[in-house]
Amino acid sequence: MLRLLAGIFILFGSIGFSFQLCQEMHKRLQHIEQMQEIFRLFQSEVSYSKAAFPEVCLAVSGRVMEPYKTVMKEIYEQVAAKSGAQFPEIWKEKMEECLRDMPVKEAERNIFLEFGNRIGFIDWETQAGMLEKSRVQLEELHIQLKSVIENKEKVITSVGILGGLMLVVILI
Amino acid sequence: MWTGMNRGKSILQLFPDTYRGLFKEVIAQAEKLNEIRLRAGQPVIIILKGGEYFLTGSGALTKSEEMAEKIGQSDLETILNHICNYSIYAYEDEIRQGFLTVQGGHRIGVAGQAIMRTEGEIKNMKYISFLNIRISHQILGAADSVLPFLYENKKLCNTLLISMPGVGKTTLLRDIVRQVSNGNRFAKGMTVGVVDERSEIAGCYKGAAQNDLGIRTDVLDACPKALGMMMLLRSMAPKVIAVDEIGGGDDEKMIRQVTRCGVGVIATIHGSGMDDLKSSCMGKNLLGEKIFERYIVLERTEPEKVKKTIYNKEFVKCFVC
Repeated sequence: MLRLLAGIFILFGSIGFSFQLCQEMHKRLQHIEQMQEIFRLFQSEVSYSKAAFPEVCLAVSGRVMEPYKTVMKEIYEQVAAKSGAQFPEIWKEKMEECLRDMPVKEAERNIFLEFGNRIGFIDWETQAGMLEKSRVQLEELHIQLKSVIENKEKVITSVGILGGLMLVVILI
Repeated sequence: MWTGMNRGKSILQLFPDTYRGLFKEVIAQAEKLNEIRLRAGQPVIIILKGGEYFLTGSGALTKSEEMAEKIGQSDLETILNHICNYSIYAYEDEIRQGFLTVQGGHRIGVAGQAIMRTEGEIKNMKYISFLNIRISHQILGAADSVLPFLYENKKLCNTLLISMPGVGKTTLLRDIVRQVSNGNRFAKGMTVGVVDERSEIAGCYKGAAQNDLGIRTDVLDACPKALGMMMLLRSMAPKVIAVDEIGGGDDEKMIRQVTRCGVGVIATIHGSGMDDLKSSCMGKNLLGEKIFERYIVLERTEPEKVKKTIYNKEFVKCFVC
C-alpha cells in the first residue's frame, strides 16, 4: 500500500513538474504579449496625442495588466515629483524591479529595459519608428517562442509522464 | 502663485540632479535672477538683476571669463531632454516657435538649425545648441500707481502700454489684468479675456496659468491674437480683452471690431514713446481714431527704475510716476 502511494506521488510529481515547465513558457509568452501591447499603445499615444512619455505611461497604465499597470503609474508619479532623476533612469529602475521575479528571459527583458535609450527624438515620426522597432523585436521573439512551445509542449509532457513511470519502476 | 522658494524650486527642477549642484547657488537668488544662458561650448552666463555674470565650476558667480564653466553640447541635450521629459516631439509646436513654457511660467528659448518646409515655414529645429532660461517674475502691485488713471466714471478705459523690449510692459499688463479681474477700489471685478499668443502673460503650462491673472480671467494660450480675440468674444463674453505686443496686420482690424462690440481693450505695443507710435502706420491709425483712451509710456531711466507716463485720449500728459 505504502509503495503504491509513493509511486502515485512520484508519478504526479513528475507530471506536475512538466506542466509547470509548460506553464512558465506560456507565462513568458503572455509577458512578451503585454510588452508588445505596451509599445503598441505607446506608439499610438505618441503618434496621435503627441503626449510626453510620463503622461503616456499614465494613460497606458489604465489599459494594461498587472504588474505593468502599477509600475506605469509609479513611473508617472516619480517623474511628476521632479526629483532630478531622468526618465530613462526611472524607467530602467522601476522595470528592472518589476521584472525581477517574472518568468521573462534576458532577451525580452533587454528589449524592454533598452526602451529608455531609444527616446529623446525631436520629431514624433522617428520616435514612433523606434517604438515600432522595439515592438517588432518582441514580435519576432514571440513568434520564435510560440513555435518552440508548440514543439516542446508535447515532448515535455510526455517526458514528464514517462520519466515518472520510469522512476516508479526503478525505485519501487 | 510662484514666489520665493517655490520659484527657486521650479527653476531647480529644470535641471537633472547631476547639474543641480552647479546651479543651486544661483537659483537660491531666484528673486533677482533674470536669465540663465546656455550655449554649447561657451561659458554659462547668468543675468542677475540686469547684470551679466559667469558661472564657475563650483557654482559661484564671477565677472572673470577665465574662471567660467563651459557647457558642452551633450550637457545641453541632457538638460533639454530633462526639461521635455525625453519627449521633445511633444513640444514640436513650441520649439518651432523658438520657446517652450515650463511649470512656473518660465520660458526656455531654443535656437539651433532650423528645418524648413518648402513654403518657407519652419518645420522643426535640429542641433539645438542654445538655451535661454528666462525666469518668470510676477510683480503683484506693479499696476498700483497707474490704476487710478485707467478708470473714468467706474468704466475701464481702453489702454495701450508702450515701451521698448525688456522695460516691463508685460509685467504691468499682467498686474492690470489681475486687478481688473479681481476688482479694486475703483470698480468691481469683471471678466477679462487674455489672448496669450506667446505664453508670456499667463505663462500657461499644460493649459493652466502659472501667473495670477485674477479670478475672472480666461486665457487663450498660444493662439494668434486676431483669431484669439474673435474666439474669446464669441465664446467667453469678456468685458475686457487683453493682448500683448500688437502689431500684426489683422490686430488693428480686430481691436476695432472688439471695441465696436463694447468690449474694452488693454494692449501693449513696442515703441519708444508717443512720437514713435505716431510714426508707425498702425499707431497713426489707432491714434487717429482715438480707439484708446489711455496711453502708458514706460521708459527705463536707471537700471532698476522705470518711468511711467500716462496720456489721455487727447494725448495730454496726465500723470508721471
